[in-house]
Amino acid sequence: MKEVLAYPAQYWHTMYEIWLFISVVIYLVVFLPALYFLIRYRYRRGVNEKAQHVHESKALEVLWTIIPTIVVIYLATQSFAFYRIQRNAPEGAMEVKVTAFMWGWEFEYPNGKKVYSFFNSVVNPETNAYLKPEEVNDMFKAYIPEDTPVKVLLTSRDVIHSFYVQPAKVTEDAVPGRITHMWFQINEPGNYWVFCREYCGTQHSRMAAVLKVVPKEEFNKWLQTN
Amino acid sequence: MAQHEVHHLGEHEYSYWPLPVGLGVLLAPLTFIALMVWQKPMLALVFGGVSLVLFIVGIAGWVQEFFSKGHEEGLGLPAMMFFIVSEVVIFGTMFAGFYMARATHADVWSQWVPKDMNLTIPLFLTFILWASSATIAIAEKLFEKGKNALSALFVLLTMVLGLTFTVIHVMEWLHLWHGGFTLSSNMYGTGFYMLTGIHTSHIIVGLLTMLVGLYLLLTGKAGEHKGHTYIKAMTMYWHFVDIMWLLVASSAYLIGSLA
Amino acid sequence: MAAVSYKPYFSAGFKEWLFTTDHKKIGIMYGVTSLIFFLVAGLSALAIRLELYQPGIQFVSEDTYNQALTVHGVLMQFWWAVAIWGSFGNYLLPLMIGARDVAFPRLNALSYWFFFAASVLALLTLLPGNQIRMMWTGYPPFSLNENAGPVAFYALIVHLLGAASLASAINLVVTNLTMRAPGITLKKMNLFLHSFLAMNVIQILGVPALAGAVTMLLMDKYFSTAFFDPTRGGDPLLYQNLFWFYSHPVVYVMILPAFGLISEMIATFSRRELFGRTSMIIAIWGIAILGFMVWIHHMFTSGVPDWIRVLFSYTTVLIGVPTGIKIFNWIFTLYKGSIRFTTPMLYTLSAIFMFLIGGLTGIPLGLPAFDIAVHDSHFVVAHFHYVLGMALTLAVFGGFHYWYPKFTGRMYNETWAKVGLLLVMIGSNLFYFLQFIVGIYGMPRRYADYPAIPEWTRLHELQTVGAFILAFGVLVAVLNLILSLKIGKKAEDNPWQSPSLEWLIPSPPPPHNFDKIPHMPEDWDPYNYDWLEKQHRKQ
Ligand code: HEA
Ligand code: HEA
Ligand code: CUA
Ligand SMILES: [Cu+2]
Repeated sequence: MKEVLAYPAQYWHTMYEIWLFISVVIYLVVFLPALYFLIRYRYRRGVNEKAQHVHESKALEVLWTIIPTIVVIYLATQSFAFYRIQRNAPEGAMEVKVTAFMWGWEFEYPNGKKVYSFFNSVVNPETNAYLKPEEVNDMFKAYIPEDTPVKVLLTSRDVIHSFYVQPAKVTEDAVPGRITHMWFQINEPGNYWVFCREYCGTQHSRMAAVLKVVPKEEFNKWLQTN
Repeated sequence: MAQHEVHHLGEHEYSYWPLPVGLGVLLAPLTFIALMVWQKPMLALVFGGVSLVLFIVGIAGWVQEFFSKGHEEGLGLPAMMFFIVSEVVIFGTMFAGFYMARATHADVWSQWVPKDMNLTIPLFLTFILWASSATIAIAEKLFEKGKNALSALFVLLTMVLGLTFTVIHVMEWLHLWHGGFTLSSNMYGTGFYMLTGIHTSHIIVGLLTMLVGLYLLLTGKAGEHKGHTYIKAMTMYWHFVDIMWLLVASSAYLIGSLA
Repeated sequence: MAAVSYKPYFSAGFKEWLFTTDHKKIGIMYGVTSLIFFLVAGLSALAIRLELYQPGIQFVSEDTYNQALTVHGVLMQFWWAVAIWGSFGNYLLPLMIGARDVAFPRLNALSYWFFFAASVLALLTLLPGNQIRMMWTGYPPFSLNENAGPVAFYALIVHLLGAASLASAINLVVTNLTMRAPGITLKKMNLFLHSFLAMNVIQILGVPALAGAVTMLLMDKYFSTAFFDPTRGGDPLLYQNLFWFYSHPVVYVMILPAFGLISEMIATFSRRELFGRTSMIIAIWGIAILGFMVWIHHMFTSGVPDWIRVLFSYTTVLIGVPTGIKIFNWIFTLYKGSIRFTTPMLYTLSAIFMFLIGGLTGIPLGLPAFDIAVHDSHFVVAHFHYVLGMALTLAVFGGFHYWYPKFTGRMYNETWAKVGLLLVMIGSNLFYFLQFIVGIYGMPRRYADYPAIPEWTRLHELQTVGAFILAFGVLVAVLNLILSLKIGKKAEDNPWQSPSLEWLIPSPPPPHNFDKIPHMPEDWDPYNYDWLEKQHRKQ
């Protein structure tokens, strides 16, 4: 269970590895012949002064149209398969409503409990520098139960913001006038960053929040207190 | 014209007119900014005035130069065609806004339709524009047969129709606006006034081009090879504006007020 | 051609320059304006890099950072990556088709003055009170917020640029289609002309969409219409759709001409015809058309329905196929060539290999499963700096060097040109490659400040170092080009021995390009390098 820090990040990782492998191969397939041609056919006085003429090759043309087509369609289909899981929260996920505003977040839990996180709650008031996530006052942290899928319903009170859960590798915009959704699950207690990823003005770069992941019992206790 | 002009070696090509037009165009946004951003109405007035003068002088000089120098190769027509294509896209953006709202807010849309909205006026407006499409087509035919004076008459008729259209349309707007249906009421108001407004601004541009066309026909300048392209392009533009009206009217009025 | 001595096109007084309708002078005016703004945008990028060197706010305030980044993005995209093609297109297109000027020379001058007007407005936004801080994307509702500054500037700048682009695009398309000299058939048009044709068609279809979008912004802000106000039936996503409907294709407006330049240079210096020329042309149009069908990939996290995201992920990655065709054909143009490693050739090769990195990292961005983790992170920033900051900019600088003798009648200094390129390559790869990594670690874009996560900090430090090496390389390259105007050797008419039409007239060209409109013979072809030798032998 605990092999991955957060869900659905593992799908991103697999996608990343597939893409990286394919890309490196493609890069070499282009680069190595190019390098060979560049050396082999460089201009040399008396040896290679004139180019020979090869206009085109139907076979090659077909080859480098068909193969990339197959590769990209495979990639898009693989992404489709992963994306369905990344998008759709598992049954029974806990629903948290998140409302973004300039510049902070409001988290509302199923029982109505609310947590606010403001841009200045993640920085040191004296130096105006970012705190480490664990240094942020617990009052401003959104508690999240360990090993539990969380479905986030997002909206915004003013301009567009974006909710990026760093360990889970998911992002979704908070758009005024509509409700968007995403889900994640974190398997390891600790403090994790959420960043606003849609530009929203002066304090955009401080519009972060901290998710405090705690064991389930502790979470339930916290949820009942005011 | 560039291609066949006779050039003397070493002579540079230049024209005085693009620069004043360009400066006039620079001052137009500055007028808006002076008024709305800097909140300096006097400055805006100065900018606007200078802009208008520069623009008119520049265009007049330009037209004058066009008719006194060089040849003309009819390249204006393909250019007008490409221009119309891009105009269609401009209208398309407004349609996109209108229909996006129409589709997503179908449930509440009926509350947005003002009681004063009726379909007889647009129907009447449509007939006017159709008539004007016919008159300008006749004008073009007559012009091709060399009957410039008669052609001018039909252009004038087209202008009268266009003007009637504009006046009726503005009256209709005022009526709706005073009834509480404004540009900022809701997306129907916004879509309605933006679509019809942009369309009417095209009508006005069309009328201005016809004013020049009339001048060309009456002074005989359109008889030469040169005015030819102009008259054709002008006709093409007017047909485009008329066809656009059908889409605009059926969206803004028909689909808009069907609850 | 003939042995008459010509006055070069640029030997004209101030009055002739100011009122000129000569496509070559207008091209130069575009180029100089564009280059000046490139330097301004580059300097604001250095301010950004300094601020990102360490976490915290050290050099500029958040608001200044946001303004600098808006300026950087807007100027780099519109004044550099788009407008620079106004320079190449205006200058070279009539020469390549054997015309004396463009179809509408006065309109051409006017389109430059539109561009000039936009430049004046852009400079005004640097003054206090006018600063705009909405990023180049200008998404509402934020751009309607006080915090963003006066959106009027942004909208009206786009209007003026749009007018300039439309006028110029229509002009060049008509010129290209109707004014080709006899013998220059569609088939014998070189790839430069084909890619400029496609690029200008994209402009004609796309620019009005952006103009419409910013008109709505203007109306919403100053006349309180409801376009982007959800409480009155509007929708902020309308703007994003319209914006990207143009602003995705615009990346091909930027890169297709660069492809055109690359094709010219790689053929000339391999001294053989382009491999698979027909499929190259088909690929250009494939990219242009597909380019209009992928815009949602910028909105994968914006709240559009999931099935739309998936649909557009397919169209997005498919665009890699025609692009790949171009790359493979370039590589096979080297095959059995006789390759000369001149400066423009080195720029070209660098541009291709950097584009490959940029393109291959565009593919995962087109996969929603990948994009949701890196959207609006520095990974995206690195992707487009590889394609824009490197592939495009290298192709442009390659073009500067390649046509330098044509533009100026002089030769640049080879050694310094190569030193400049080397520095640029070292600096930018150090910089942009690490940007990918910090993006994968999650660093969001448009952040003036970031938490002191040790890996992030270390990567940012190195990036800034890279950026300064890069800037120094640009400095060397630009200085070399400027100084060579005065001290460069006199160039021959056709230093690269290319049969393309612009090289068959004197360097620099005389004011009216051609005494007689040329009639190109049957056996002539812009890539037929033997033809030129045959001509020489005949003489
Ligand atoms: C010149 C500019 C340019 C070019 C050419 C491209 C090319 C591509 N871009 Fe890029 N892009 C930008 C400029 C450009 N982009 C900019 C400026 C942004 C950010 C805007 C902003 O938000 O500010 C952006 C953002 C951007 C995003 C949004 C990311 C996000 O915000 O989350 C995406 C997503 O799909 C994307 C994808 C692509 C793809 C698939 C290509 C393709 O065209 C690439 C195709 C090329 C190749 C694939 C390589 C060659 C091919 C082969 C060798 C064949 C074999 C290959 C395979 C089988 C894969 N780009
Ligand atoms: C053609 C497009 C283009 C080009 C060429 C560049 C070039 C550069 N870019 Fe740019 N960039 C963009 C287009 C481009 N960029 C866009 C569209 C964005 C997104 C904006 C947004 O988010 O809205 C962006 C964003 C962007 C960011 C992201 C910031 C953030 O999201 O927080 C950064 C940060 O590193 C950056 C840096 C640079 C640097 C250092 C260069 C360098 O290559 C610049 C090199 C040039 C010079 C430096 C000038 C010339 C040199 C001299 C005058 C020499 C003298 C100077 C010294 C030696 C000190 N750019
Ligand atoms: Cu909220 Cu950025
Ligand atoms: Cu894109």
